[in-house]
Amino acid sequence: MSLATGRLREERKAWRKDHPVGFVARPRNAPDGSTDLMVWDAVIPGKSGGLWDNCELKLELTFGDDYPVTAPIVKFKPILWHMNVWADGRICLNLLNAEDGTWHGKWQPSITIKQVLLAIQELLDNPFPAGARPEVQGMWEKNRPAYDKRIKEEAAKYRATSDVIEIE
Amino acid sequence: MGTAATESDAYDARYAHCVAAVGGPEVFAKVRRCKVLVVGAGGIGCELLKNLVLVGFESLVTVDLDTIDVSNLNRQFLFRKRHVGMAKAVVAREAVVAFNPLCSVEALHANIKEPRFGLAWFGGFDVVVNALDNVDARRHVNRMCLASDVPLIEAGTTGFLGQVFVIRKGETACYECFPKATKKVYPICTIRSTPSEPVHCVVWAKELFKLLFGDAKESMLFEGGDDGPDASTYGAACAAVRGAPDAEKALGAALALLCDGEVRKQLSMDKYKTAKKTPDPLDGAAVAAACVAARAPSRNRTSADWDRATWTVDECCAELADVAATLAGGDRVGSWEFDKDEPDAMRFVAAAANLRSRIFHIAPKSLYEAKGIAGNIIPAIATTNAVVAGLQVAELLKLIRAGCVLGDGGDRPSVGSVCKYTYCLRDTTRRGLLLQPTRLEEPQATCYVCRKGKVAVALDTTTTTLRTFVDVVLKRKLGFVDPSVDKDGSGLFESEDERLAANLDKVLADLPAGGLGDNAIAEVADFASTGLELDVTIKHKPEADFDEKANPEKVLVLTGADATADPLREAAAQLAADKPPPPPASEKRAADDDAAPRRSARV
Ligand SMILES: [Zn+2]
Repeated sequence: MSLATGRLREERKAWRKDHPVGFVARPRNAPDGSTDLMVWDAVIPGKSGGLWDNCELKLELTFGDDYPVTAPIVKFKPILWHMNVWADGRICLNLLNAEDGTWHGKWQPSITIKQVLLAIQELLDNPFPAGARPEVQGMWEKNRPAYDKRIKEEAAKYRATSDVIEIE
Repeated sequence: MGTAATESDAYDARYAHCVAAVGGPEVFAKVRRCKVLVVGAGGIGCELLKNLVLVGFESLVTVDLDTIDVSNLNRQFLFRKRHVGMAKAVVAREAVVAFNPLCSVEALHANIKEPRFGLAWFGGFDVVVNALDNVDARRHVNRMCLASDVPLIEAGTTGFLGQVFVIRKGETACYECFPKATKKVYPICTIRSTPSEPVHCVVWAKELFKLLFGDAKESMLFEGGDDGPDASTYGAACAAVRGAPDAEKALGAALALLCDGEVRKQLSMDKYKTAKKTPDPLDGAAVAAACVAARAPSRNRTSADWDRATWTVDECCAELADVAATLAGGDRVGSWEFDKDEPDAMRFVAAAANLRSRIFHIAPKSLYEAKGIAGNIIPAIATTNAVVAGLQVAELLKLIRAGCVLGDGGDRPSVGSVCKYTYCLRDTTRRGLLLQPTRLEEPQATCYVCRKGKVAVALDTTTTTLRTFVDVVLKRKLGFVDPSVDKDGSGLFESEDERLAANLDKVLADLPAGGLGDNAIAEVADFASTGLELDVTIKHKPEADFDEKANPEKVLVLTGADATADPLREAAAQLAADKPPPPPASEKRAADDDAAPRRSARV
């Protein structure tokens, strides 16, 4: 009944009407047989022809009571080896940052879940050096061949198998 | 002289000056019989109750959950030192009844969100006046007043600033028409790498406190995976502080990494290439040494000056080491939650924020200032409370004079044309005013709360299945095509969600998330293009109380005023008039008016 659940209901409707191919986003199962509207599970497919081609990457979106005033917390589960993914799985992406006066914060209440997920898909192949994961960024800067090899190994872990959430 | 004369004398002596002031004897008669609910008996509530009884409002109910704290006494002037620990509502009632013995005030020491304060209860008042201090309770009262169609006079203050406005279903914007931030969450990049304001440093310090003494994995500063902290960063050093026999030394090592090594690492990655200023790491070795050399006994921490002083780096290290030595071995390690009122936790956060500020060229703050930032404290000002409470009574009198409250049943003007949204300002306007009245906004089409219709449904929650609820109540009677059913933050049904299909055969009371029992609200939205949204209040009515012939489905949809009245009595009264079974489900909208959601008639 709050603004947050009202907006999430709109998002569910919009998603059901139309969502990008290969993407999944929906409220999580709760143990009692209901669904938890404030936590969503999502799957993002890697772009075809890109580094993560044919991968299915799982994420968790946690919405606060004051969503959409504040951005959801979006984490990769499991944590992705990526320059813009903090060691705890959170994604360092300006779209998800509040206006903070220093950085490129630009979360806005009008941003939809679809836009967030598409931006993350874009980020997968186009990382930017921002200091979120020093060990990844260090390798990217100093030893590109090792980095490229590691990315290939990481991507191999996420290649589509039967062990993924069923795609609607 | 007879009793009547004495009463009349008392009346004249008390009210002679009020009658003209409120707009004549007719209005004043309404003032006396107006049933007013005052939600909250704290800062604004004390002022409000005093104002109301002195103007001549004689029928009041006040609800407050709190007991009186010493810190309330400077502004909640109905309370004295001897009342500390007693219920606010009860003490406030005693005080204002003494001001005007003709009035009747019922005091309830309770949470306004309790189910016993349902729609019927709210509907029993002519007007509700809010004197609350939190968003959560305000939202709740807003929704109850919308659902029971009772005008609400809302007010709030923040330091010198305040506002007063009136909410009426369908006529003005509601409390939730415009989204507001309840708490500020800072993006992880700002806190970890690019702080620019003192508050960013305080948040960082709170996260460090959590990393060291609380649930480390929940801290924004945690580095590592599920199997533990990352040894390559400061993570392992921070973890080592817990339970260390010499916590000062372990903390010194962790701080050296956080204030020096980590900052250099970020600098080396050109993280700050585009920033206006670059951070200056502290001297890690000096920080580590200061922690170990700590605990100088000469310092007097208890003096008020200490709280208000800006500590040096060495003094911060001493404070941090002292707190670490005190907390690191305790039982609460791993579960500490920062609380600004716990002196050790606050000392730690103030000192850590100070160190962090120095690195990023932000003015370091005293403990006293840091506490204000950490608790987001803006001091409450008695004068502002008094001003807004006065304005609330002024708006209430306008409502009565215009017939919006206790009207004669004929046409009445809309609340939006009668009342104003008034801001209390800190600085005068160009015209020298501190109060700025503006037009009340219209209900917003985008509002998820007030744009929705509301109906109540009487049925037996222990025998009616969710399937019957969806097929008969929602589809057939209310005209939904593809409804989803939620309760609070939980989804119960959605046609394309196979995970929820098992719920269809459960009876309403046994559904997940606490079930849809008596007085529960089911939030229903149509995923089809109708876009219809409704809050359906469930009223439990035992199966045996339905007339099998007149109402074989044993479901009764109550709308408008019916929904707010006593459900059982209303249901019984309507039972006789109940119509034959509605048309088949193919019909998109219910045929009988009673079943279709609609706005209730105006008073
Ligand atoms: Zn609204």
